Amino acid sequence: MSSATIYPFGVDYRVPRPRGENSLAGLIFGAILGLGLTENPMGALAGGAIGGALANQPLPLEAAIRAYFGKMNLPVVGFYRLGPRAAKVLFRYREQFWTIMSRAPESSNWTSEMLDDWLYGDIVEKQLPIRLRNIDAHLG
Amino acid sequence: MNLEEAINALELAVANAVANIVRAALSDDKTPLGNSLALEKTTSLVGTGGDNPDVVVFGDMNRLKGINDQFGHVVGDAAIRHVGELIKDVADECNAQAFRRSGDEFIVLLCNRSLERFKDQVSVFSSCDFQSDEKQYRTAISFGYALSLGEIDFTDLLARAETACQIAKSQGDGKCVEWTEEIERQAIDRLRERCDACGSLIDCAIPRRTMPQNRRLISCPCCGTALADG
Repeated sequence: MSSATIYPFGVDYRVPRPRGENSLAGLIFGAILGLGLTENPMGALAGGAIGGALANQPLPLEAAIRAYFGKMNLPVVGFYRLGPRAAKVLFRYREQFWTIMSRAPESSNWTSEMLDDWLYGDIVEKQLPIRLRNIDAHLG
Repeated sequence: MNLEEAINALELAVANAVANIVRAALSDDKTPLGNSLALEKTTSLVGTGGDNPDVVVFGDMNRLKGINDQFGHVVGDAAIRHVGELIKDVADECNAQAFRRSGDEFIVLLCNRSLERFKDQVSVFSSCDFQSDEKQYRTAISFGYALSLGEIDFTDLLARAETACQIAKSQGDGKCVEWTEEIERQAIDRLRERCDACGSLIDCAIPRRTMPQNRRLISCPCCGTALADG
């Protein structure tokens, strides 16, 4: 699913926000709801398809960032969207506060979904590991 | 996976999702404390006896606006977080509940028997040093508190604690002041202005709390001289 994300020409690839983490639950929930509403197996199929599709939507950028940092045990204190192409995260690590910032390259072909995906990937896969390495090297 | 297992998995997923939503709805987004909604759900217990809290502590950060203005809101948010963590540590030691109501205002609800322990630790709030992006910053917080005597409700207790906090802030960082009638008088005096013409003390600033619609007097009631801040 993630490999299908295409960014504007010339923009480096960044891993997009996770999709489909709840697709099974969405599918089951949708199927049960569809069956309950229509009392028809086709309703269950349609409901399952709709539930699965809805659960496949990515989280909003801030929620996706908070979820990722949460998994890494890094409390996010603040998330700042700096216009459509940039975002900054204030987080706690080793008893201090740190910020990381990501800015997407200019392009007239960005969509807001693409930008959110790119910023997510840039923050979690590029900026954060670099920052943590630097902090660890600095603090010893 | 058969249908029963699928339904059980779904039930568990829904229960976890609901628990996460409730937790998120009651948690402050910047600090490890409860938010104003969590506070609202707790206030009805204040002063009702037993193990319920009967002391309302109001804390207000000092110079947060200066930090925001000088270093930006990211550092201001770090300051709020840092103070929130310190308050959480102290509150946990005192079996108290702590909340961030809004901005730089914190509320702690505790039992009278834990009050001395809380006051013993207040000195840590006189100088709250923290680092953000390798730069050193300092903030502080002062507290006022009011004791429930059984006959006033949470809103009045909180107003008293806020009044005591104003006096605490005037005394310096990390101070903790109990609300008394004398503290209330001091707070009122601090809000009074002296008429330049006749020299009488004018309660022109008191109406913020006691007069409807925050109405302010525009002239001295003794001599009729127009007030600069009218």
